[in-house]
Amino acid sequence: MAASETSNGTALRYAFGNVLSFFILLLIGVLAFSIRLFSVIKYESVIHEFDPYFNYRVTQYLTKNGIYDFWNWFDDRTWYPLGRVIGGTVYPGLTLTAGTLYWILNSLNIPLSVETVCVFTAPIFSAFASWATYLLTKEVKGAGAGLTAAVLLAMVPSYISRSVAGSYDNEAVAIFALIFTFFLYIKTLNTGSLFYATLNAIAYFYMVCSWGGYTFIINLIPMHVLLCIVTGRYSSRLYIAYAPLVVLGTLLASLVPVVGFNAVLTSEHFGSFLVFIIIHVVALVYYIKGILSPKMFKVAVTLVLSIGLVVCCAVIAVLVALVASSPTKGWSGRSLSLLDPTYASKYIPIIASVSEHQPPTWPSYFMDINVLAFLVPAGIIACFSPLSDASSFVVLYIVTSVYFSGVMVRLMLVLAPAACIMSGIALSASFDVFTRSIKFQLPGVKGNSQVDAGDTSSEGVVAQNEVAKTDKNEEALKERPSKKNRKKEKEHVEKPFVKAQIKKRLLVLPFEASIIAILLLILLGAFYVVHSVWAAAEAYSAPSIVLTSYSHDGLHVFDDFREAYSWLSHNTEVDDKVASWWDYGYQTTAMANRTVIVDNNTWNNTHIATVGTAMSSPEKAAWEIFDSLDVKYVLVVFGGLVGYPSDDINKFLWMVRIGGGVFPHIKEPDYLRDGQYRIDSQATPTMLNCLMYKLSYYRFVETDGKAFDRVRRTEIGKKHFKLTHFEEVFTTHHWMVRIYKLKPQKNRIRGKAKKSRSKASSTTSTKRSETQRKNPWH
Amino acid sequence: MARNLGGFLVLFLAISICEAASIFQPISDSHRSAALELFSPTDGSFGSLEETYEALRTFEILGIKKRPDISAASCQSVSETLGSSTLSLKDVFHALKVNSILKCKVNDETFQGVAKRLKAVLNDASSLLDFYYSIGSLVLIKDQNSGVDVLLHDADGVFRSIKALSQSDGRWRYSSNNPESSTYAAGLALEALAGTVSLASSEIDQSLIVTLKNDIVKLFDSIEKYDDGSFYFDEKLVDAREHQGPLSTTSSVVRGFTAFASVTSGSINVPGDKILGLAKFFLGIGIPGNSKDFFNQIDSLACLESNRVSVPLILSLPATVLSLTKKDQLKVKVNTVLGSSAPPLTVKLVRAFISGTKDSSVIESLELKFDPETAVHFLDVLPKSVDVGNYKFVFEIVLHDSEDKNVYATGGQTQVPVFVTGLIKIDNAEIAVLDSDHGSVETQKQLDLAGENAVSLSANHLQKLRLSFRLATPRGNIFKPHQAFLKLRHETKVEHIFVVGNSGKQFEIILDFLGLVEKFFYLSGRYDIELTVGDAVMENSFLRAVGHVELDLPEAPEKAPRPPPLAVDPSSRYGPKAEITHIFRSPEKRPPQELSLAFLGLTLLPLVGFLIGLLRIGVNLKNFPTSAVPATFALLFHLGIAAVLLLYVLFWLKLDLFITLKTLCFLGTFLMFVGHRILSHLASTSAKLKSA
Amino acid sequence: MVKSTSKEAHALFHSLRSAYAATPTNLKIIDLYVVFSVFTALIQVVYMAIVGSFPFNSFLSGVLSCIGTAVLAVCLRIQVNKENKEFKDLPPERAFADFVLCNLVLHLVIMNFLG
Repeated sequence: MAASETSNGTALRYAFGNVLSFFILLLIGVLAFSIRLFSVIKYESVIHEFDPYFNYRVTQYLTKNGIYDFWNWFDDRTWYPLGRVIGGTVYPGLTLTAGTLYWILNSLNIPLSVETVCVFTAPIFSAFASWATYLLTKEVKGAGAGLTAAVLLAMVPSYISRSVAGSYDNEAVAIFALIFTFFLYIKTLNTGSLFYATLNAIAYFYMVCSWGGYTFIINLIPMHVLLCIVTGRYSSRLYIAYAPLVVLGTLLASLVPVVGFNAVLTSEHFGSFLVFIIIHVVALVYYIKGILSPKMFKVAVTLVLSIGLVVCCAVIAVLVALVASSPTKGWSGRSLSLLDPTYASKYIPIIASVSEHQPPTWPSYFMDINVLAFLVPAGIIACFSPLSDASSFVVLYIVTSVYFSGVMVRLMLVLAPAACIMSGIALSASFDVFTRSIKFQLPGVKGNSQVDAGDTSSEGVVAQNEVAKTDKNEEALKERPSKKNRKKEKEHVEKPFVKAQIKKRLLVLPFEASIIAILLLILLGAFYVVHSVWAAAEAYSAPSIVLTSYSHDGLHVFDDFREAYSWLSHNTEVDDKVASWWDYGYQTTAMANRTVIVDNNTWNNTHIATVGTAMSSPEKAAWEIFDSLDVKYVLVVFGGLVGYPSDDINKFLWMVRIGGGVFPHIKEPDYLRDGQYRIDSQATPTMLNCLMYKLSYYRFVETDGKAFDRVRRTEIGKKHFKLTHFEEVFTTHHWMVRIYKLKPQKNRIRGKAKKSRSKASSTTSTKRSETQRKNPWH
Repeated sequence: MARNLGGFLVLFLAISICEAASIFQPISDSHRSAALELFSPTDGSFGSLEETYEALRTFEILGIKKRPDISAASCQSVSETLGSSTLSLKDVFHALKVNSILKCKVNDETFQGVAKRLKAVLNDASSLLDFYYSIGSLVLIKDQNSGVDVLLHDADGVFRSIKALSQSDGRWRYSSNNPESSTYAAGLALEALAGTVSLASSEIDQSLIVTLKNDIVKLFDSIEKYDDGSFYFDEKLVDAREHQGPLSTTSSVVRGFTAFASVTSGSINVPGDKILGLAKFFLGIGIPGNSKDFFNQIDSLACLESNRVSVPLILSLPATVLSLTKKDQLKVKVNTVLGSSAPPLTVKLVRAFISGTKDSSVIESLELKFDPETAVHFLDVLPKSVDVGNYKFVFEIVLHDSEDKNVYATGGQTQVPVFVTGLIKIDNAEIAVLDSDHGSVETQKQLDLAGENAVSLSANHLQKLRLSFRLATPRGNIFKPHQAFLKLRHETKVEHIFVVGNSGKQFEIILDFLGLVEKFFYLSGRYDIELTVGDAVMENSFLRAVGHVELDLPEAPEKAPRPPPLAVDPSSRYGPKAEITHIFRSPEKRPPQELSLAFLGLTLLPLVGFLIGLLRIGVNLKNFPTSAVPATFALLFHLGIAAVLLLYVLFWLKLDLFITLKTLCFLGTFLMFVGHRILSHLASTSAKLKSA
Repeated sequence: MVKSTSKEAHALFHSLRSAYAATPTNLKIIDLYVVFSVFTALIQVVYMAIVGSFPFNSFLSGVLSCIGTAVLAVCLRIQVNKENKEFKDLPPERAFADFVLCNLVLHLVIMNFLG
């Protein structure tokens, strides 16, 4: 009778739980969306940094010219004179997504501009990402952990840093795709249905479309499969989850122009094929084992194993041969720098020069994932009890992502979801334990107590909703217990109830301890919330196109970039070429709509090196280089007046290195005074005469008497000088962007001839005037 | 080289220009052929009646017999136009004009009707064009068909109303309500007035005629003048409906003026040289390009030819280039503008002087003989004082009987440029290499500049090259050509050009290589020598390779000027650029056809094996539902799958992604529905089986 | 020793055949299908080895379509296998529907990739 009561009670609580979790998920989505709107509120609805501008431009093109034009779009506005095949070299996922959004909205007669859609794409997809996290974690450790993880992910700073409104970049979409792909993989693994396998492949396709990081998936999943096989957890579900994914996924991936045949040729993917073969062998072994009697199987094993070994060896040999034959041993520079952290800085200065490709520092860990860093180990432990395929996958995920994030700051982004999932699991588990122990020490009947727990939590939910969304995780934890042990009951519903109670009683903590622990956990959560809200509001919401600075006399807004770009777009010819360091290439093409020489897609090292050489050579040589590229204007970014640290002078050493990498006559030591980089009077003459120095500090002394550079905190070395081959045409209000024009080549012979001709014509004209009119008919 | 030729070209061009500058040939056969080209009827008729008239009139004047036969078509359109009830003045006018030449058969009634209507128009005509067309037409009717009564009863009134449009400066307005006065209109007005006078039933009162004559004089005061003594009228009114160029303006004025002069008695004191100037203007045009100008030119020349005031006489020279060596005669012809012969007269060569020098005249008044059968005045031999060079001869026409003097306009003295050319003797030409310090001749070669010669010299930078020759005219005087150039060309196509100066009687140039080393860019080696002597009046101008000289110059020091890049000749600069050949990726080699086909067959093998295997296993369709509804569903299911596969094939063949996906949506939904039905049905049956 | 192993192998094959004879017909059909597609793939690979893989996408799509169908068929076989305890709750019809769907998707992709 107790069983029956509990059974309908469970049904009731089921209903509660579903409705609750639905509402909670909705709120989580709203939270994830709204916490990323700080940038719009504080600044304006503008696209951020550098790459987003390129994506924005591509999206514009897509919405204007349709998908087929976009697919084979040859952009002649950049990389002059080479041009760039956009359709074949860009990851189309983000663009297509935004384009579809735009299209849907307009077909619903919601007239949003392309820019607005682009600005808000990232927050929307972060909401999706948190839901995907819920699903994934639910597959791993049940709904409660899922909700917690979702809340955590909705607010994790490192993800916010890439997906605030306006940072319209691949990662914004890619993270969602990543998590969702993993979810579908786990789902397939649990259910073992081909349907989910198909969905999984399609999600993987979306991931490939949107980010280069898809190689992480295609390497992580085989690793997990291998792990399962090695730990003897092979099941036919594993086969169903993996084999179709490899075939379909490879095909789909090679549909994306950027990837193309790399999906089968480069060795980032070979791992998956190897595992594909192995899993077949294993499957065969298991099958034979299934149909044979153990005695015969003994015999079979010997043969099969020998054969299998031979096959494996052959395959490995083939693979090795392929790898050896393919260029750079089949590994693209970025992934090599993943495996060997020092690779990039050694060989590819371009990759190394990007700040987000540097290894992170410990503070950045704390900054980006905050308390999660401490919760992760607990989560790992929780995953091992009991260890299922899913949880083992999550563990593998966290381990690898920790390693990768240790290599590149950028991959902190991959770490963040794993950390969220882990800490979600940890929190939920711990809350589970504590609340249960509390519950069993409370007086009263368990049944209605559980009901109380249920609806207190529900009231709690309602209350919380009005109060503040930011406490959601906490309250998501509150209502955890009821669901949690309901789940347990469901698990062994056939067991007699009492035995379950007893089993539970065994792991009970002292009452006060658990109360305090819960409070501490809540505190922890609150701290996390506060931190991430602060991060979202302050640290990560600055669109580096508009800068602000607080000083004693209030807020300053530096809008120099847009000022400069609009000057370019209004005062120069449409087909003028503008040279600048590659960071500003995308912005120049997107905002000023002028042709640039190099831009942020650094596909041609030599071309960038040419510009770097020009910037670091003396004026005349630079003029010749620029003239050979028929550049009309040169744009430099200079922070010395307002103290904007990331300006060209600080990037200058990279220009020297990249230029010197291709043109050996540029030598880095020439620009360093005994090993250190300085621009004051101690600087080397090469430094003081190079174009970048001159363009940056031209007329700088006129601002204040002594030309004090606020970034380098010194007075500059050479103050008074003239430009011979360049002339200053525009300098923004705070001197942050300075635009120079190449002086035209002076041409003596022409000038003389003109003079003489003019004289002649004048004389003739005078003659004509005094003579009578000539008869025109002759 | 190219430069020198260019020089020659420019020179000859200039000569031809100033030759044509004041020689006016009367109308000749070239005009006739041009007329036939310009007025070529398209499919049997000209575009409009106006053009027809112009063509016919031109042919008539030029006396072209073999005119294209267009009378049928034109006559028909003429009669149509005249017969049509709605008359547009312009068409009627031109129709009548055509008719006046073609003499089509138009019956009197039509003329009557047209005349009646024209008069009606005339009575309430206000604008000048109305007057012009209507009166013109009436006049034409009058002299085409005397039977019709076209006389105007109040000619004075009409006269006054036209006159009312005239301006103080002798020009006219198109209509009373626009103030713009136009010279072209003046011509029209004069013609109209002339018509009025001729149509007047009673005598027009003379005061009007007199005032009108004054107007004409005023009009002629506003005449424009070119420097070669040709007069023309220009249209001041620019914003007229169509702007009249000087040619059409002048011709209209001439037409009107002559018409008026022909109908009125008494003299109009317009100076004869202005008439002559007008004639010169028309003749100076040469042969106009388009038919309109051509007609204007010819028509007005015809008017001038037969005008009452004074007939211009044109003095022309068949040849203005006289060769001394060939002993050419100086011939002069005098004709009227249309080339008909002049009254008896004598041509006097008043004087001749070398052009450029006004005063020193070489010839004083000579009288040219007259050769009656060729109608040419000629001077059999030029006097000794005339040497090669370009001269200006001044002729004067003296009419024999005095009453011709007020019929013809001779225009006083006519100045004609004449070129006297001749073979130039070139003698003691020699080229020598001398040592620089003391002018001792090292090697010396005589040159025969008349013929080919290839001397080969060698010199170093311490020596000099001297080239000298002497030019003499047939009369034995020293001759100084326009151009005397010496050109040295190195193997590397670097050219240096020197002007050969002349010292008194002989031409000489001395190249001091020591001074020229810098200019020669220190290029040692073989230099080809070219000598260019040229002049307009020199019949044997030449550009001749003399030979070559081997120069050895010192080594170039540092910072010596590099020889300039070769000047690209303009033809290559403006000519087509070299075609860019694109490099395409060569297609990979394809396997032989047979192999591929063989493998195609091979791929089919497993399929066969599969089917055989199926048979051996004994596949059965007993699971296929027997009852009707599920059976249809099963059928549909398989059909749906087949359809989807077919769609894929189509997609591969021609469809694009989006069409495929759209279609796939529909097919997919259908397939899901059907498939779900059939599979659930199967599941239920199997479940029944299990339970049972 | 060799003798014994060969004998064992013989016995093994014997038992294998006998064991396989027990498998129901529909599984046999699926197996046959798998073998068929694998052979097709092999032939294409041989062809590639002979004439080189110039239209690489068509080669890839050809082979992968065969392998893909084979893999899917294997999955189907696993799911409809009665002995397989893991898929009690999954009816064979559902498995078949999934199989069809997956194949359709696969071949759509392949058709697209065939270019």
